[in-house]
Amino acid sequence: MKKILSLGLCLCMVSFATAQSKHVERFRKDHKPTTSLFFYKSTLKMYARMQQSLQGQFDAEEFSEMPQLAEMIDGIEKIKFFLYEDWTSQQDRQLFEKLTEDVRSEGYEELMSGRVEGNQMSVFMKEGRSRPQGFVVIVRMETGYSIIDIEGYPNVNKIMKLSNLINNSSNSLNLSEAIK
Amino acid sequence: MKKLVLTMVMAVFAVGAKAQTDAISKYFSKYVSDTSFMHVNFSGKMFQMISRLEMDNAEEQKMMEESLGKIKRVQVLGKDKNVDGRKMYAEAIKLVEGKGFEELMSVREDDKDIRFLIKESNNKIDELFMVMGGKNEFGLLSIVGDGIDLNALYKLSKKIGMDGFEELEFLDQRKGN
Repeated sequence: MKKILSLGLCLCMVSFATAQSKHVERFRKDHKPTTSLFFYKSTLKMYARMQQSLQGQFDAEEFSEMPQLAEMIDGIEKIKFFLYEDWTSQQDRQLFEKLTEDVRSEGYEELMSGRVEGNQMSVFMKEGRSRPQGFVVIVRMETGYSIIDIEGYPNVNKIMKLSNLINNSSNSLNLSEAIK
Repeated sequence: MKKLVLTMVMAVFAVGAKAQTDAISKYFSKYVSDTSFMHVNFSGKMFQMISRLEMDNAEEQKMMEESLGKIKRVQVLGKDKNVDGRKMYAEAIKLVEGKGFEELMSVREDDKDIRFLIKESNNKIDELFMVMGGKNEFGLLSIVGDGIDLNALYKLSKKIGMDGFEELEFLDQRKGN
């Protein structure tokens, strides 16, 4: 079922975007995360260039049809990732339940929720003019919580193309299996 | 007077339909809080988004736009250890029996039973309920929508390698696709 969650997460990220959650930002200021990671467009482009450069070292024909990372992440403006380790008390749980409600009150709609092997994930999306503006993913793990706040969207068609390519090209290299 | 009677009949049907959905919802809620169960819930919004994806050909594009956008909710519930799957299977079947669901197909595979039930209106599938129970495993799939194209859903799951819909494979074989 991890496959469903992972694909679900990918599939929820379509269309335009120019927003991140105000409540997630307020939560981060009020409660310092154990780990904070910020990925900006420039950082993501750097990763994309690194991938392109590595790929260039192999002259295999099979890579020619593979979508570039740059194409997949072109629509993403910013990604924030916050990890809250050892947040396991009832009070912590209530804080995250409140955050979830606050995110909803901002106009974020739930796209999917899932629980696999004790980990609970909820994916929310905010739309404007029939186009997604941002995504918030809240994950509850045994040892704590993590929040992913995305401004922008990946090119889902390219991601699906990559998934298809990998699934078709090799039985031993199956994306679905890899996500397991 | 006829209008009044007709309205009342329709209201009774509507209440009946809601009761069925509620019965399944209650069944899900009963086990959703049990963390030993795997549970995944996709909202209709998710499928609306998927239906907007650009596909390789016009046929697939039409299939996506016309079918998947009509799905309102998909729920999956499952457990594959420490569970009396047969007991839960019987419990789930009892829940929908005589409540407007028709059997689409039933399979006995190895030591497990799988049953597909659908609810139709105007020759369109509004709800699919799949229940699977074995000696030590149990699974439930509920798809609610407004004219669900199961074949489209199966093809999509196959295309993107999405797990959980393999049991719909018989639709592909039935249509000779």
